[in-house]
Amino acid sequence: MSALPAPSSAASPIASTGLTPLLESLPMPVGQIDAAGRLIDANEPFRALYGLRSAVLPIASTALGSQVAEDSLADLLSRAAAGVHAETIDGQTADGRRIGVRRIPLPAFAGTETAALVHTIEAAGDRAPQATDPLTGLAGRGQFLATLDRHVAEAAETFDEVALLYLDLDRFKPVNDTLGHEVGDRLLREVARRLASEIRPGDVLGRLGGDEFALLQTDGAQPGASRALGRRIIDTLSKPFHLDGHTVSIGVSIGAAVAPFDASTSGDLVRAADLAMYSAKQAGRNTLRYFEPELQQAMEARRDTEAELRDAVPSDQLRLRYQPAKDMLTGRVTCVEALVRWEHPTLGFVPPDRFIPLAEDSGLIVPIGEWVLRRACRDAAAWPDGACVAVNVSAVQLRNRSFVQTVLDALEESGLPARRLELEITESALMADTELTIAILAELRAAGVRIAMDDFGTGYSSINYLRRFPFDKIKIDRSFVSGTTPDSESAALIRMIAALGSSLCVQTTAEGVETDSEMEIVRAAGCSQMQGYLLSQPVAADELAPLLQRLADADPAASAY
Amino acid sequence: MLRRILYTSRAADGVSMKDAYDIIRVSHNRNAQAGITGGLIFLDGHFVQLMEGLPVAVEQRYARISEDGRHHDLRVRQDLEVDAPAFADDWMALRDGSRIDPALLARYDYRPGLPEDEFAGETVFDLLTSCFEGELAVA
Repeated sequence: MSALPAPSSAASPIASTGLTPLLESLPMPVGQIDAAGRLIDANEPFRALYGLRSAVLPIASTALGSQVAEDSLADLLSRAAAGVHAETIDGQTADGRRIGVRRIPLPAFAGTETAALVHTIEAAGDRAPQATDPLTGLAGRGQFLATLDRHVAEAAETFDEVALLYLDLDRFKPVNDTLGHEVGDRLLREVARRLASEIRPGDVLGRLGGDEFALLQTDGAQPGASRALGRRIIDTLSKPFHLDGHTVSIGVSIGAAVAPFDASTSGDLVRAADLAMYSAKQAGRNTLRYFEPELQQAMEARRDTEAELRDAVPSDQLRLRYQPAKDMLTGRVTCVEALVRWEHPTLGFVPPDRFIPLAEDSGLIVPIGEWVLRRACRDAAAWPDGACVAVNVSAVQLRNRSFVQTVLDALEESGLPARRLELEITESALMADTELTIAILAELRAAGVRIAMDDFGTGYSSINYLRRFPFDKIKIDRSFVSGTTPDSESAALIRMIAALGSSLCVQTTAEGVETDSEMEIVRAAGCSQMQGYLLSQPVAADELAPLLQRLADADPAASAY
Repeated sequence: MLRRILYTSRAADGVSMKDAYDIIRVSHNRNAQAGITGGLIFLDGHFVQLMEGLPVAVEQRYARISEDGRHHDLRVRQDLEVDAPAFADDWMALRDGSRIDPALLARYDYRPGLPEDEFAGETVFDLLTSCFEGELAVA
């Protein structure tokens, strides 16, 4: 048994313990957790049950963000890690079903810190697995996968091509959250009906759970036939749905993989289609993407970077840079924005746009955001007086009510008064989960923290959000400011936003001011503040005090700081 | 006015149907279709490909294809201006030997590679389009 063949790269997204091939072969959902309550391995049925989008593991219970539809897994992980005996604990699936979960403690295995296997079992009284999906009447997950298995095995003998299309609805969650589960269920039934009307003889349709569907295509020459099918699906699901008096628009992201080209087993085919679907999601809504081996490599590279990023906070690799904004009337620096940089041990400084999206996807933004908040408050508390510190907040951080406590703790530890902390929220953060987000922001604002809308004007409903929440400040996106001339449309828009701000008694800051003429335009428009390279580029914490002194000296209207 | 280029080539050693599939799906994922339609067959170690589209797009695509190491001995069999494309979808259709009716090939007195001295460009075009019956534009 010493020379086991290496698993093929597509077959084994996680080869951490050697248990993976075994886990993957099991039809029931099984996950493996370590002593810290991190999910370090999970087979396909487990990932589907908890709505795990991709195979990027490990996942900590504190780092569950966009990958998970519900908080149910976080809850399960923390409780499963806490126990020491074999026991059955209560769990809940991503789609809300109560289930029993068997916790099986494991001794240290092959030098890993594996603590337990969690094996999900159906609760008593629950329907039998592998049945037809009761909501839509389509094949359920188990039934669909069994059919897929059979067709892939047959095709391998007849040299036929089999295409698997993985479908994930775009924007289903907001519909479910704002209009309720009943409307959500009706939408899923209508989606199933439309899908069923697009399939041809030889196609098999199933619902994998939540808002995920799958299609198996056994007839036709690939990839042409699957592409034609994918386009028909995108067309039909892009049309509005009329449900109980509501008109709802969604979309669909489709990942396609074809046997025998991409995989020779149904398990590998499922993984390939899932990766392709992930890539379709990233490419934007209403997209069909085919699996490519590069996706697998990109996913692995991503996992490597994620592992390094996980280490960035404990290893003290994050740095803050500060960029001042000054008041247009008094010339004083009234606010300083904290910007995070990652000083990678070998790559050097990694720009935020290279690691923040990854941090958001993996949930690492939560510990990173907390570190930024604490450090920024601590630094700002030492500033002589007045200026507030602005900290960017991600949508993922605003998904959990505990963020309020994180902010209050950072203020208390540093001694910084709440009024000197400003949180910058982007419109996309507001869109993610409006009700909860607004409740969290309202709580923070009630505590005295200032709330600013960042990148104003880049979204399509920015103004709508001004109506829904009393922001303290609007930051006009740099794309309006950069290169603007007095007669340009951008200048007109800056004037309009500044007027909007003044009529709502909200401050406006023009970002990205780089030239004197741009500064004159934003001043004439009536913006209350400006920020940009003309004033200063972002500087290290210890360079900030001299910078503020220089700025004060240069502008006689401003007193020191 | 569209340009049509029809060529035949010999696949490099070790090239399989999987490579042909790979070429097509990558062009889909990159949105690199550039409005080019057509069909590709992979038969007995040879490619036969038809491309139609805007003249400049077809020209650039052919230039890139001719540098691809996965085939050699390229022979342009047709290079014409046409009014309407032969293929309905904006997609490169794909067939290999296992999905082509041997009786169809027999009707054309098919020989591997469709040598130039035996098969006129028009015959190659007819043979290729016959392989995709049912997927062609309605004439």
